[in-house]
Amino acid sequence: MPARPQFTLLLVDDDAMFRAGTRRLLWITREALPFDIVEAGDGAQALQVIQRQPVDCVLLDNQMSGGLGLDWIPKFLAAAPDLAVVMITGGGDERTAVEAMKKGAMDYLVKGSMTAESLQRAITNALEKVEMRKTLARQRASLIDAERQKVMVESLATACHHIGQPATVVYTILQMMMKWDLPPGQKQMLQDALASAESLVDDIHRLQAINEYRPVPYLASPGPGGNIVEVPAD
Amino acid sequence: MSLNDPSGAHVVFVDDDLYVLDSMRRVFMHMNTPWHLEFFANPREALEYVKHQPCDAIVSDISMPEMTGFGLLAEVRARHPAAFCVLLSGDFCEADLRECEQWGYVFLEKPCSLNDVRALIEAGLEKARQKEGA
Repeated sequence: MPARPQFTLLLVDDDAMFRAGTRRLLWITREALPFDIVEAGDGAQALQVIQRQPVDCVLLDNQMSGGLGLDWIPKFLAAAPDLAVVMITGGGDERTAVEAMKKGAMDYLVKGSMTAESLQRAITNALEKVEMRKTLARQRASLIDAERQKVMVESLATACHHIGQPATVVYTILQMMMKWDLPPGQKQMLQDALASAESLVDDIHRLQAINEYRPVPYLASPGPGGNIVEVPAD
Repeated sequence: MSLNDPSGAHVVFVDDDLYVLDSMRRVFMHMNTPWHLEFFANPREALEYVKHQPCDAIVSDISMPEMTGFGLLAEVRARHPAAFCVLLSGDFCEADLRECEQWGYVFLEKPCSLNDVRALIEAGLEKARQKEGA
């Protein structure tokens, strides 16, 4: 059986009983979500954990004695931008849920009606959203890089193209001049110049191989409605 | 503009880059070929010319804005099937090379020697003459 990916989940609640209850629910889902669980009693403690070790997901209670969980979301995300935050709100508190999502939470759960299934769904959903965002950012970076390479190579190919004709003329005329009846000194000068022109022609042909260069990944613009394709990592 | 021997073989040069065209004109002028030379920066003008005039050989660029070298040569061959065709390009491209082989055109990648281009045209004209005489 292949090794499962190991996630770290941070439980943030000032109520130790609630943290224990949530741990029990997570134990039920341990097969589907194999988490290492870390606990924090308030936002400040949670931030310390996030700054100290990699955390994949935070289950964050809003109503804590040390302050609102909501206010900690931007601080958590500033410390770990790829963190999947799941907000835990009181029943009927949709406003907090909406506010949490605006601040960067990926999902929310209602305290009191949490089940192992809803917990698993919310965590999975939040992690998937973060993964999707990371994939999009990677793709965007790859496309920008490919475009940059393409523009540079095109500039190079154009410059090589422009050198072609002057080199052709230099090479041709020197060949023609070599047929002239000249004193040895001048003949030698032409011979040296012709040798340089021949070498120049060879060098330019080698430079023109740049036409075959393709940036990797070389993706055509998908255009409106086009599919976004994941660029395989090296 | 025509150069050299009006009674000689008609050789047409086409390149939209005026610097390229002018340098070809100068070099071929110095070569003193026994040919009647014509130079065009616009492939459509070249085509108009070959509709009414003989064309024994043509040397053209491939990438041109109004018409590609391949398009032009197809039209030239339709009117002058024996015309010797050379495509001269500043960019090597495998697909262009294959297309040239398919149509029996000579593909030359710049930089090259225009003395070689001249020698190729001479050989091509000689071959056409022998074919005509046979």
